[in-house]
Amino acid sequence: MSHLRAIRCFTCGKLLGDKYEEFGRRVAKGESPERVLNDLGLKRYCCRSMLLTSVDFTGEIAKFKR
Amino acid sequence: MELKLVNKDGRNLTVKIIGEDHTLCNILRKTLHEDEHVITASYTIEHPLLEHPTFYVNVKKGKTPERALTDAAERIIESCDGLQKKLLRELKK
Amino acid sequence: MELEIRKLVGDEMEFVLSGANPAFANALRRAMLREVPIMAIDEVEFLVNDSAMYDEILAHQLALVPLRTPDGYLLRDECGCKEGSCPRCSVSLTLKREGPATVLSGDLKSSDNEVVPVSGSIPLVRLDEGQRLEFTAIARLGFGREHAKWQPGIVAYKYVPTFELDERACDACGACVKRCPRNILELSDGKLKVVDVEKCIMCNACVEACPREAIRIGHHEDKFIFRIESTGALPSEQILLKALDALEGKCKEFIKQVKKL
Repeated sequence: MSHLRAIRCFTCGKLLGDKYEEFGRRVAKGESPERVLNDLGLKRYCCRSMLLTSVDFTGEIAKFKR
Repeated sequence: MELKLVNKDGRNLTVKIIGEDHTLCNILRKTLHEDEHVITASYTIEHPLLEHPTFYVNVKKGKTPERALTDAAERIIESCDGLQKKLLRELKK
Repeated sequence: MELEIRKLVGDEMEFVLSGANPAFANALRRAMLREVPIMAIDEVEFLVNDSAMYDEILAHQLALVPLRTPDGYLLRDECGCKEGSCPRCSVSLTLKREGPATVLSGDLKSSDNEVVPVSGSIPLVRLDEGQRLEFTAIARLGFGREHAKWQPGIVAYKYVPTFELDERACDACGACVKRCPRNILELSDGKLKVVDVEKCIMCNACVEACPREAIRIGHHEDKFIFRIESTGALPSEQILLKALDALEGKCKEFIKQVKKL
């Protein structure tokens, strides 16, 4: 979550925030991204790309004090 | 919504519709053309950031431009009303 | 004008509008996107924010969280309360948490339990050990024309396609069937058949593939297939109903103003 995890699709505005966690977890376990994206109901490639290409670097950012 | 009169002479009327955009203007324009008394109906939005389209109506003898505008607006209201009733009926199914 | 609901499941609705002109279809689409009021967080007052996310970034994220919108709230302008937010025109959502934790949308406490995030599992920010976050957010009704956070959903329409085949020219070679990206063509009993003309995206791949120029793709001038995908703030059919209200409202106000000229 945080900086690189937009809560809505940039293009169409569909709510995605609640889908990152499941996507990350299932793909890490070895499932095909295509299958997970389909299961999550993301039909348009704008939404699909949001999950497919997001990188969570909040772990790195959290190390720095504001 | 506020209307600012730009020009009015007999069969022509030019008015600025403050606070509106294509949502109202385009359907109003199209509906006006269905009226046989209307010769021309058009609008222009000079800048997208300034919400005041300039609307122009030109009518034949037999109806004032103002009347043509209100008649067209009434027809749109009727269409919307009819559609709402149809939707509510569909939803009951 | 006729309206036929094709599909209404969850937050999605598909319907066919017929007997309408493109200007009306577009006015309806615009009204649904821009003129239907829904709730969204509009102001955030931070008491403590030790997280790695700046106040304004977090506030922006909060604004984009879709909130369920019940009837009964007044628009800010209609309310006329001096403070600019009161129980009749706004809802307050508060949050107070300490890390280590991932703050979720479900952690927001609302002053009206009918105005809550559509989903409680949207991660907002990560708090490490000892980091605290405390804020009060005010949600108000607003319109999509002012900010995308107030857009009730995605609304789009397309024309209903027509598929014309010159049966004398067609020799059922099947080239078009292979090229169709939506697989809506098939050969059966040695003849070309269209499985579902409404799924045609009018790309004309079949027209180009046909060596006999036997296909013509067109569309109905007065039929539109609408799709509404609500964010969850309002049910899709409510978005359509309120959009029609909004259009009527504009026309009624317009008539009033014209009579004053």
